[in-house]
Amino acid sequence: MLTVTIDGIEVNVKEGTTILDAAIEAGVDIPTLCHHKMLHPFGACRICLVEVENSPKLMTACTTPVANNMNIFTQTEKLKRVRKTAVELLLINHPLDCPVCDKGGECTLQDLTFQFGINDERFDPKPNDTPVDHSNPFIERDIDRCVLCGKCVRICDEVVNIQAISFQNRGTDTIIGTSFGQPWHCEYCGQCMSVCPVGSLNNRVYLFKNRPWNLESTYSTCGFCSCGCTVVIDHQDNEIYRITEDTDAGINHGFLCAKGRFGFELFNSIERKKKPLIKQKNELTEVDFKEAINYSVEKIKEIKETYGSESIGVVVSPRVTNEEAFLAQKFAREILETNNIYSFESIDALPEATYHDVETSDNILVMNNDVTELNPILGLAVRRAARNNPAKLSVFYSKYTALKRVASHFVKENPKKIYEELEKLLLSVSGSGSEYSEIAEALKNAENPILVYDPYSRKDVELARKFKEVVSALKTIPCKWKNNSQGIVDMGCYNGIAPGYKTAEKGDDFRKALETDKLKGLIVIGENLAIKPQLKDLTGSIEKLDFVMITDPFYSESAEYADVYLPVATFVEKEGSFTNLEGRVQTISKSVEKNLPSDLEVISLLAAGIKKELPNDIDEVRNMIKKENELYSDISFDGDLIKYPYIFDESIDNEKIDLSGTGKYYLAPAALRLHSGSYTRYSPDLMKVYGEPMLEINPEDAEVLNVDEGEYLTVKAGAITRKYKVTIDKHVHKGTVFLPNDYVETAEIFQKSKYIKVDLVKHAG
Amino acid sequence: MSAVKSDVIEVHVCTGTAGVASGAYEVMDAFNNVFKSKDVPAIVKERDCKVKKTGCRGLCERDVLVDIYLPGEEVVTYEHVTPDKVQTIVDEHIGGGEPVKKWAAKQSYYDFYKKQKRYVLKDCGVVDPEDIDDYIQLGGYEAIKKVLKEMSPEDVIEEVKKANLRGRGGGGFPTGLKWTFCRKSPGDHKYLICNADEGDPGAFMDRSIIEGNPHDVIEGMLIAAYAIGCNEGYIYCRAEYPLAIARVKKALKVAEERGYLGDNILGTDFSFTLHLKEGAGAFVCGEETALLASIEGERGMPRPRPPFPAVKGLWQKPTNVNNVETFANLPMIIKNGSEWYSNIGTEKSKGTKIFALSGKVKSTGLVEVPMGITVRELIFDVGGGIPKKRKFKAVQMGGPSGGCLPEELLDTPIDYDSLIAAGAMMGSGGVVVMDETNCMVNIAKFFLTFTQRESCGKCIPCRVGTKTMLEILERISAGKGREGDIDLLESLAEDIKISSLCGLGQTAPNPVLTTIRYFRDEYEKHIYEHKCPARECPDLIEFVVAEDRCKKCGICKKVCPVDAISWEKGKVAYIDKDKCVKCRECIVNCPFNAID
Repeated sequence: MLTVTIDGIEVNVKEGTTILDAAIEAGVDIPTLCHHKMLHPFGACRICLVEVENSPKLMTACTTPVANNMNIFTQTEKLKRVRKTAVELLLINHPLDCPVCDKGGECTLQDLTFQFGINDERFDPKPNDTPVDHSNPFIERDIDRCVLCGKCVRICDEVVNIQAISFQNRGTDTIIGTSFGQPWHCEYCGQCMSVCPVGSLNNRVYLFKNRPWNLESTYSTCGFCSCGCTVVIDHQDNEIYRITEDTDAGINHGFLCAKGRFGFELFNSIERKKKPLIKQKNELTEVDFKEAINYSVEKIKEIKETYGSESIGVVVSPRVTNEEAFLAQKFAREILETNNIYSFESIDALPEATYHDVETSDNILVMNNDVTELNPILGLAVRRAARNNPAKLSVFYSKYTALKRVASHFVKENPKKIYEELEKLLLSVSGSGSEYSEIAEALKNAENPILVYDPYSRKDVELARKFKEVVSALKTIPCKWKNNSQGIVDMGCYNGIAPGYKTAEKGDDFRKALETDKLKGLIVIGENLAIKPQLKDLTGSIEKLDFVMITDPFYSESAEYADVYLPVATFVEKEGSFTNLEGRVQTISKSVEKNLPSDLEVISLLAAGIKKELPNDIDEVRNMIKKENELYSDISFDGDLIKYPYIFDESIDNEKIDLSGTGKYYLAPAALRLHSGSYTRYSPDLMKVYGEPMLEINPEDAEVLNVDEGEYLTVKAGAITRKYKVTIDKHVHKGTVFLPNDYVETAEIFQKSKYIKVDLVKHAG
Repeated sequence: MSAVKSDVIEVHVCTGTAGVASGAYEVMDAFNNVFKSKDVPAIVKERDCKVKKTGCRGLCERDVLVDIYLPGEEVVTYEHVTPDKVQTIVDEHIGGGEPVKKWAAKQSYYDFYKKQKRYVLKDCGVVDPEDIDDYIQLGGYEAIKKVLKEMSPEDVIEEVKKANLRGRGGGGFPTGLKWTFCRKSPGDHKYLICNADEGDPGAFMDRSIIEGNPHDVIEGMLIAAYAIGCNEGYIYCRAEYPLAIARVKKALKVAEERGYLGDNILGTDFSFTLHLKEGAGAFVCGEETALLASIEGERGMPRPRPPFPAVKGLWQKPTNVNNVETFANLPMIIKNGSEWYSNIGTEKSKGTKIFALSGKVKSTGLVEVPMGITVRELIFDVGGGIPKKRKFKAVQMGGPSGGCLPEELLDTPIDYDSLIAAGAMMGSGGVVVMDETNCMVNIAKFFLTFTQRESCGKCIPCRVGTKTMLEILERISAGKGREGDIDLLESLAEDIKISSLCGLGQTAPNPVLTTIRYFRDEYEKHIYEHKCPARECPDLIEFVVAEDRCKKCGICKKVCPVDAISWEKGKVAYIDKDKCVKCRECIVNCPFNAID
């Protein structure tokens, strides 16, 4: 430990601590502008200059490590003067359009100007005046207001690693821009915007809609993918105006992805129904909630009495909270007295590694998935580890992903070959093979190796399990789909699995029960069955059921065939918790009131009507969970990690590749960073950029097929034929095409397997 | 000059950049052609006449310079040689034994060298820069042999410390000490960088050394690499020096072929790989951390220190950066010993320093003088004083980062510390002399125009501050200066100096500060009287002919490019202000200072 004195206050800090961090420790405020704690020290703005006793030069607090017995002064007259000068110089060219600037009220330049008491103009103002750039669909770029702190450039480089923007020109001509002034297209994560201290990079979805001081902030957990990012929801009068971040809160360190940051207009969507709908004789009637519940209760009772309890099934979506999921399975098992509780999640593999493990890893193997698109913030953790630690990163996938730039090895082959190559690697790691020996050796010798994989494919789970068997230090991280993919199965929303992975009495197989007409009634909590490839052929059977009740915040494709549709609250309109892909349980908080019930309330009301009341209070439900789910018995619901009874289902072995079909091309499911299922399709902003499922194809294949960007290709998978718009992408492996599999338009194509061998023909006309 | 010992007739042609630009290759061809032709003097036919290219010997303004070496006779130097003079020189001098007096160098040529002490440049202008054997014959690569055979790395550092060699890049940091930091820094891969990104306007010392004697620099780098423990190095040379780059490339290739570079140099355990990296034209890349960023392929922007390059430099490895001239000093220190070396110069500044002399001085060019010589000696004895019988006004020492010294400081001795005390600096060695027709506001503006344009844009004080200072200077020289502008300049300059990130910003205000310090009245005249005493700021000149001083010679009419001046023999000239474009040609050319 080193002892330093800052403005007379003595502190002890670790070696390597910067003066700035030591000052924070001492409670001394040093102003900064270009500093960001997640970025490397830059030292450009000179606002944080301090004086050090016996040192002739002023030092930047953000870059200088302390030395023992350093005597530091942060508030001398000289320092006040140079800091003030720096800000005065910035104000020469900065347009003082604060009244119409979105950053007004939360602008670092404003704050520094105020703090340093700049109230006259020593220098003639010469405000910049160049056109605003709107080439990025989510971020407005106003270079006139830019102070060239470089945070955007650095975060795009050091964290996102795509270098979409950079410094250009020199001296006073310096600007931040894209290569050769091309339109600004990138991953749209908005990290640059989030660190901009002034109104130079602005959120176009929020632009000119409100002033920051009107907004109330609610901290919550993002409800899109399984990453579990902490988000700050800014709202006023029950309307969400923007979603921002807090560097100091959550596993995401303030990083968010495009849908998490820019997709929020879906909550305000006018397409959301305000009242339930009942379908009788093919006619839809809008009713109030009480009537919808009563009608459903009667229908369920009727079926139960006529056909018995087991004729009813409950399907739970990975969108719902732990509390809702817990109550849903309790409702099924104890109120309906059926064992038919379903979800389309997997219990083959459970969480193990944490973000911290990934961030501190020295070797990462990404096996057959695109984590950067599927779980963008986990993807960022992988990129940062590869870039900064630097961890050796090996990726096996059929398409070059954003990890290509930071990967030490990237093996790109068709899906079948990828498995073959992974098997070879596994052999080498086990010591009985010679291929990929460099990757194998590094993996074996790594101190904190990490494996990122797809837990929904049994072949992948088998491989992951075997890698872990031979590399004892290996920690695995399953890329789960949805915000609570993990939590709902933890809560027992799975056929034959009780809360905490205890065995429960097994119900009917969902498919079989539908096919044999054994199932007569179905209660669907939030799931959109219509976009599930594995159910696509059962749509008719579901429609034919005596009674289908669906709750969903949106009137989804599935809701269309429901007898009762109940619009419910989204995650920003209710309380509860989600469990992310690390197995971390995090709280969600209600930000706005839309006068829609949560699934918790719906289940509670149904239960009361059918048999007996179930609680609808979060704390009461949590107490029940603590009692009945031993994994959750001792946790706070606010960031604690679950200790799982197993990582892999040990019985998974000798699995076949999930591949069918006989065509010439491999069709593989695409992960999309802009969408995660059906919610995001209600965001006009996300839809503007990605509006319909696109078939990604290698340029050489496109040439052979004589198809251009934006034209259509017909995909033939056996008897199924569908046409899709083409996007040409050189990163896609030749002979393989990618298509998202969770669209109502695409689910059918994927119904047989994860990978399909298909034929492609140019669509005529 | 002593008599030539060899019995070969040699013609040495200066092929530095200035020589080449003046037609040195054509002159060489002319000599070769004459030697090959039928009607050459008998002596040429009998003898093996050798035409040899050499590097720059300093007095570039008299290029093409040619030395004729005749056995047993004194070397004769010719100035301004052109191909058409060659036949005469061969016939009369080589054939007839009588030097062509009208073209031979005059006394002023020899005066130029009289007070110089050419140690670093000893072989520059003598050795063929593209012939390693010529270098070896002159004792080249002897120093590295001595080092590898007889000295430990510590011995070498100790020798350099004893010699008290200080960095020639401008800062004057003790070289041996710098090496110690890098040597002691943990790491098995260390880099050695030669900074040849000489970007100061009016400076060409490094270029001339590399062009004139590239192997000397390579040998210096070998010595340093051995002492520090570096196994890889770069010569970072600006792309605007094509000749230097071509010669370094050639030298690196040959040196490697001969075993002076690469693995197991001269059969020892010592290995050193040396690359050439061309800069892309940014002045700031001469700053060592920006230079490292540039080699890495990053944008040339300085990085905060600490960590210092000696700890985390190129690609995060310990790195030592020295200037070309510093390396060029090393072979002779090793060969002659630190004691010999430390006898040259002053107590704290040892050795010699090379300067690029330019501006209003008779003999412009490259000079090497011992530390401690005064500024006056440099300008008046070496440089021959001010041309056109004008008065000396000031000298800018140290390039755009340096300062402007007035006449009363002419007796300042040239050493690192005295120059700093006077407000200037050694810098890389640019010396720009100004006479009474130079406006000090304009000079400050000139240098600041350069530095603000070359600011990388990273830190606020340098990026916006220098530009703001320039704008204030511009309004002063346009007659729109305001009360308080001088104070504003001074206070802004001070803030920029102490708060900028790198040396560029920290020194950029120096020309302004020193011109204010020594020529404040001139600033005041611009601001309060709207007058430019040196008549250099066009907006403050009336462009009226002073009838009392006009001698009716009519030169002004001849030089006016827009026919704005009417003059008849015996009459005072008249300037039509509607036509006048304020180009100042009349003022510059009037022998009687008759235009106000």
